[in-house]
Amino acid sequence: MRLSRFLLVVAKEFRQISRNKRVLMISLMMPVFVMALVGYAFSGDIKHVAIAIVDEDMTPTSMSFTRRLETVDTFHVTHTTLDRHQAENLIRDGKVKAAVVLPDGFENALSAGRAEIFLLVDGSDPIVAGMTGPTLDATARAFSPGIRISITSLVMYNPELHYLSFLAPSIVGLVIQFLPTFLTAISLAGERERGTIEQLAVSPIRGFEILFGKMTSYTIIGMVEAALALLVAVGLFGLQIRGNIVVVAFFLLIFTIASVSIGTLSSVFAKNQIQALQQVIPIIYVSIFLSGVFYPLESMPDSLRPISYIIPMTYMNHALRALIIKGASLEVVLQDFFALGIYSFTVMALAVLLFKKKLE
Amino acid sequence: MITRPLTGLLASHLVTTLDEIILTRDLTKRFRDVVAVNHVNLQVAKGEIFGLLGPNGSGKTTMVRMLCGLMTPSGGTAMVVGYDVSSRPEQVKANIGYMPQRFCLYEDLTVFENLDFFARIYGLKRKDAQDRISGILKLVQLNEMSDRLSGALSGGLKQRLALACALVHDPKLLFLDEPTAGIDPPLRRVFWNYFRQLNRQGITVFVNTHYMDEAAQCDRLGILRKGSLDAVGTPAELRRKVARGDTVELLCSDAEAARAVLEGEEFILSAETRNGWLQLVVEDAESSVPRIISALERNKLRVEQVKVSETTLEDVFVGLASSGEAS
Repeated sequence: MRLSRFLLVVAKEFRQISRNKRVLMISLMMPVFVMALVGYAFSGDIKHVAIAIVDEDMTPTSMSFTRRLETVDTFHVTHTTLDRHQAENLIRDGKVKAAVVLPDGFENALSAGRAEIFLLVDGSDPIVAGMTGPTLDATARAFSPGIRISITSLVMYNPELHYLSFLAPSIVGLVIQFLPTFLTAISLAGERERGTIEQLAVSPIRGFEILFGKMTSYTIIGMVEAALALLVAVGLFGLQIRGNIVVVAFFLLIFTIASVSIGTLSSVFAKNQIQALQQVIPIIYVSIFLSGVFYPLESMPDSLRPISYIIPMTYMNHALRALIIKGASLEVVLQDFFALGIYSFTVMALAVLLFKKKLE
Repeated sequence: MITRPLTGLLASHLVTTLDEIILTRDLTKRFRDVVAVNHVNLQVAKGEIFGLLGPNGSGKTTMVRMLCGLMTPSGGTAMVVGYDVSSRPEQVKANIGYMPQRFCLYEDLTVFENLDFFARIYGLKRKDAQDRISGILKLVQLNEMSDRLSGALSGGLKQRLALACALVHDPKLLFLDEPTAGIDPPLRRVFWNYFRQLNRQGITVFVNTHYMDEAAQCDRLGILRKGSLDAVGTPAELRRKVARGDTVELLCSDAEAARAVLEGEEFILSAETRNGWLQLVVEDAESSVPRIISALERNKLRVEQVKVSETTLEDVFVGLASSGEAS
């Protein structure tokens, strides 16, 4: 394998990508578009969330606060009770999404200049759960300007409240599951469809040089796309990357290489670009819907769970969430690392072998 | 008239020497139970234009693909530019140019970018590649189109670009797979001018074709049918193989006298009179007719009408095919 020739392929690929406006647009716009779409779609106005009020204080101030809450559009006070326990049951039964607890001594504390209220939230619906705290906080601020009412939240059932935090890492994974696979498959199938592979085959360039040139190009593009998606999540939606960015990048790299290999494999079995796409799309759909991209794996029916554990994307979702949201250490994602490493190596080896065989 | 300096030499020359740029022995390609190329023994000499003539599906493309190192033979051997195609395909590839049947270059790269990409794959340095490319573009008259996207070129221009690409590394041997398929006759002539120009520069040309007029332009021809090489020879030799020669019919002032005059000429194979016409069989009508007329005029015989029926390669082709089926 000659480095110069390999680099020629890389340079050629980039030149062609820059020419093909449609592919270029898809490559650059899709990460931005998907992330923006998902981000906006899940942070829009939510109104009339059923809540319960637990008024343990039973003072004019607490009643006034209750009335104030009733005027807030976001909330719909369906239950008023004196007992926290009952509120928890209401949440458990799905009657309300949250309960606001005005504790005994609320009025006195407020006149002393420092009050506290409690918020119980059903975290299993992170979109709604994520909104109740800030809305309550805003209501409290408006109720007593100048006096701080601190809110102590207790999230029930799902401690991860921020849906975008839950979603963003897997969207990054989704982007590199989809695009590099797609681009590699159509690029290689295109070489065959248009016969350019023939002209290459009659030149002294080796199959490996073509393949690694292609794979490198699309791996770089995949990484750029992942970075774009992350940038949008961080810049537009305030996602915090708590874990080590190098480790995150490393996981992205393994996964991108695997995607590029899947794209290569698909092209080996396809006569043209359309066929290549037809093969790639089902793989991608299965990956998306059975790996817990949009909903936690726990929400999947038990019968489908075993399938999840043979889908690489499942490990990718777990690893990225752990690394990005919780800032997890390497040990937490070690299992994911091995699963993805083996997967990536296997598909790459298969891709190289079958591509070479096909070329002959 | 095409000169054929090597033809005579080859006929008596069966052992491989440096003069052969292609030499195959029992070259065979099987696809499952189909034999696409069947025990072909072929010699192509350095510097000739060799044509492989055969109908679609006769195995021409398979043959060329094996000779280019694109396909491994199922049996037999092939030496191309001095290397065995099975064991040293890289060396073969480095020394040959191949112009595929259909346009096989990147439509989203410009003319220059395509040529530069391939030139440098063949190991040319940036500067050398540029010099070489500008030379080739002049040859195929594409120098004005250097920055045009290949996809935007017309069919004929694409074909020129494909030829340029096959030449970008200065190959010793050029394979042309149906080079003028789908090209109109005037342009076909232009292409043949390029091929002959290249041939004069020392490049051996191996061309696959099913056009008879194209085949007639070759120094030597091989006729491939159902994977077997039926006949090899110069176009004239092949014509003679089927028919003794061309027929020339003359109406002149005195047929008998004319017959007496012409019978002695060495280029006349036979002469007889019938219904006032003189019927002659000659080796080659094209060159014979002027000689016939001048011979008659020297003897004060006036020629009123000439009818020529040449044995075409098509006749050869059909003749060989029917004799093959009969056997």
